[in-house]
Amino acid sequence: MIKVSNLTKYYGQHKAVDDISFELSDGKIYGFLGPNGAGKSTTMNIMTGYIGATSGTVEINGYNIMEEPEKAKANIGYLPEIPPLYQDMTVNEYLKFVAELKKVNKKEIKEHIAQIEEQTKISDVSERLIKHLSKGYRQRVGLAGALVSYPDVIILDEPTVGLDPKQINEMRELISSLREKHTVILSSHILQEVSAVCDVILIISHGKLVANDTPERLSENMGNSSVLHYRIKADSDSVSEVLKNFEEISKFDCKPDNEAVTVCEIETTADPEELQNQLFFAFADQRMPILESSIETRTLEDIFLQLTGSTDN
Amino acid sequence: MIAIYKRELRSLFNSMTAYIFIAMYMLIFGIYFRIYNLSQGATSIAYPTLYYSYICFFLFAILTMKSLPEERKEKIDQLLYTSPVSVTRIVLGKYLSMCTVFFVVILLLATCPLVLKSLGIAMLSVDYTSLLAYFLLGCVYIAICMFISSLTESQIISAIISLVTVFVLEYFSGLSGVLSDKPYVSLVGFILIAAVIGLICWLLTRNPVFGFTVGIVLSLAVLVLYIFKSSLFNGALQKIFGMLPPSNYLINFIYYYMFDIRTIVYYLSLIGLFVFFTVQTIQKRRYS
Repeated sequence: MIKVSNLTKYYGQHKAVDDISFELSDGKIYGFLGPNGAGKSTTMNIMTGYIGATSGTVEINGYNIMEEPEKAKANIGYLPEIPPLYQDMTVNEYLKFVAELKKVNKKEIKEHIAQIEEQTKISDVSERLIKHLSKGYRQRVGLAGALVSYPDVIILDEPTVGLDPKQINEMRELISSLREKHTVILSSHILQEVSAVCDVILIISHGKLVANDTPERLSENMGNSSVLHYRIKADSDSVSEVLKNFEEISKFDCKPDNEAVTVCEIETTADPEELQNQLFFAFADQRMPILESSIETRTLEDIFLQLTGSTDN
Repeated sequence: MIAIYKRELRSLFNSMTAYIFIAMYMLIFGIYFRIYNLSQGATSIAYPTLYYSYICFFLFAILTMKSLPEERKEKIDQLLYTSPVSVTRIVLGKYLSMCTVFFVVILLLATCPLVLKSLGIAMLSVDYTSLLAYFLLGCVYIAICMFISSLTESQIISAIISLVTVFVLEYFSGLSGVLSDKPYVSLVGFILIAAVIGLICWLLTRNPVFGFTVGIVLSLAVLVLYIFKSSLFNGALQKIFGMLPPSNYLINFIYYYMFDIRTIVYYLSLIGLFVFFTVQTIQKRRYS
């Protein structure tokens, strides 16, 4: 169990994390979502005890990371944004070093490392120097390091950045498989990624926690909406009259473009092509010529970006 | 701590740093040994060989420049500071690994008295007790240079500042001899030192008002002392600079053939102090 209360972090005058509080329960995968510079990495660095917070507390399994750092850190495996790898060591040497750091029983180290190497599919490079490995393998070695000693909480900072699509899928599968035994927290600035693997999404923007919910509930709230753009040769009041009759339209905005033409932006959660057909006949009945009509499908990503972008106003 | 110690030691030897350090040390010491002992016939390596080989102390800058700045720059320190090991143990592991490399040098130097013995007279007990003190002296410099390396992310800057520091510590006492021992010279010197302390306070706390206040208060204190008791300032600067070089405290071991426990205590205190400073520097950076 992880409990974060009123976490605030200043870098000089800049407020990187602004009064964030949340509680995470065991055995789930949590996703930190936010644009670059939102404070995800800073929050993770504070949660793992790498840097201190200006104010607020972090508790890992009941241990305060500031007051009992060694006990709290024993429950955490951390893969930072840049995997912390010693270039001059082989994969085996590195994992052995991490196991010794994390105080794994000496007799079990060899078996433990072999198991983790198999799990992260790096057994075939175990004797190679880390500086000769590709980005994808380095990421996996970093993840293997985080898994050493099988801590309860595994924190991954943008684990799929820089990987190719196949590796991203493998990484996602691997992260999903961790669900059984660990609480996983991962961060990303890509919504699809988080919604693909996470049970709960926490959206961070400008250092603030703006949402904390399951992906299903979030996409309901954020909506899979589309936007229809129209140019109609009629005045804006009569266009509005027509649009009001449609229940499928959740929101519309009509502005006169010039004397005779109105520009409309129509939001809907219904099937946009079906609506487009109906609007065609409706405008035709009123003898309003449609000059231009287009559909813009808005992805979750767009809406997420809008959500996180607009919070600073 | 043992895990870090082993890793650091392996890294020092894998990256050639340790070999270069040992080889350079032996080369420079070897030249002195050849001149003083083999050519001029001194029977002990303690004096003058060890005493005059302080030029080798520059090499500690090379030994310590890599570990902390590189880890900080490559962000490998994220692994260390998020693992269940305290910062003190991390720093001690690194420190002891560097001392071990220097200990290899000491072991090699320990063969020199045996060479002298095979040629005739040697003073084994003096040489070996001197080597012990000399080892601790080296450890003092490693601690100082490690502290300097903890202040920066750049290996080059770490090496340069360490070099300058070693130079100031070892040579300033010699250079201060050219200054006059008139009281007002000391006064100017102390006010300059007060200004430098103020500047360091400013840089460390990033608070110009605090640094300025410290500088002014110290300067005023020196000035008041000068007005009321100027006799204290006769050659005071020279005395202070004379106390500065840690190697001056070796003299009882190598020149007067005494096992001086004060020197040992002094060196161990300095080591403890600078290891503590290193830990504090790292902690402060993480919590600010």
